Amino acid sequence: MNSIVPDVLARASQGDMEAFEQMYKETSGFVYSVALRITRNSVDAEEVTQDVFMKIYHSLKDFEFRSAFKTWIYRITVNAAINRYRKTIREGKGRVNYDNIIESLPGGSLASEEAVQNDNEVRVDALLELLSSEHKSCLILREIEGLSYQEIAAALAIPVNTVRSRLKRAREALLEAARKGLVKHAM
Amino acid sequence: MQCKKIQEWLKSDHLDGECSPKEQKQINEHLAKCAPCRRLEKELQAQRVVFNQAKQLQPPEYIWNNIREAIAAENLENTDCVRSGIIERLRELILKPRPVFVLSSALTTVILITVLTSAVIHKKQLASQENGREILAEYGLNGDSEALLLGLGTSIEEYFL
Repeated sequence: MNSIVPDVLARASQGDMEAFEQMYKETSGFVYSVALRITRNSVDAEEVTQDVFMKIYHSLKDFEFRSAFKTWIYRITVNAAINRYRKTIREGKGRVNYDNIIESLPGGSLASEEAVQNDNEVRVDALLELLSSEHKSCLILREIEGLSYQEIAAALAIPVNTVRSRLKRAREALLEAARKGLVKHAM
Repeated sequence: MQCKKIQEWLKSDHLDGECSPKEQKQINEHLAKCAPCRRLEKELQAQRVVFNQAKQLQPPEYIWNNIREAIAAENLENTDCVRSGIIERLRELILKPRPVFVLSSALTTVILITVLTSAVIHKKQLASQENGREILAEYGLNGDSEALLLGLGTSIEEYFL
């Protein structure tokens, strides 16, 4: 996620819609991407994205600029996505929607590049499906979004050692699944 | 250094670049002489490549439109609420009965009724006195009640008197 200029945040917090749109453009990729990878469903991811930005709009006035804005967005995004994922699981709705995930990818210039990218997305999705929502969110923030241990800890409101332990367990689970052949061509 | 400790580092801090230089040196020395740990490191690196190739996904265009419309609708609703709130407060201020106003209105009404009633009664009394004088004058008397009694006496009146 790109860093947001403090002036843009300040103007957005005063109800400036242009500033809010600029902030949306900078952060919506992260929010939607994380939501889609956790919920594995484009309809849920879209709803999570809308909910997150409505929440940001309502809370910006009270946001304390001392705390990191990015960390705050990480936190509300992951929480909203996990809650939606659990709700969908409880309600027993359909899960994977690969077509929408693939449609969301940035367009490639060559058909072969697109095919490789699409294939990789299916593998990522298959791997993440093997993990619990806690392990999955840690791994997404680390491996795909590139957050440090400190940033993940702040985003999920957990100790750094818990981040370390969740990442280790997530990787062990994926290695175990690959060795057992549970995920074809996963790695 | 035991493989267990090294493998823990491989699955977390080493892979994520969070090891201290001292820890990294220990890992490198161990990997140089331990084939199973080297194999594990390769598996972990291969796993990482799959995730690193994943690109950030972008939301559809209409999501921003939905958000903008939702915010506009909320703002409109809030404006309406504020406007209707001001009108409501004014109406309340003007029309709502309050104890002080009710009491003062009731007192004023009572006083007005009393004054009007007493004025009407006084007027009637005056009219009655005037009427009495006219009757006496008609009978040729000058308001002398004793003479009137004596002059008008009948047997029945005399009986009662």
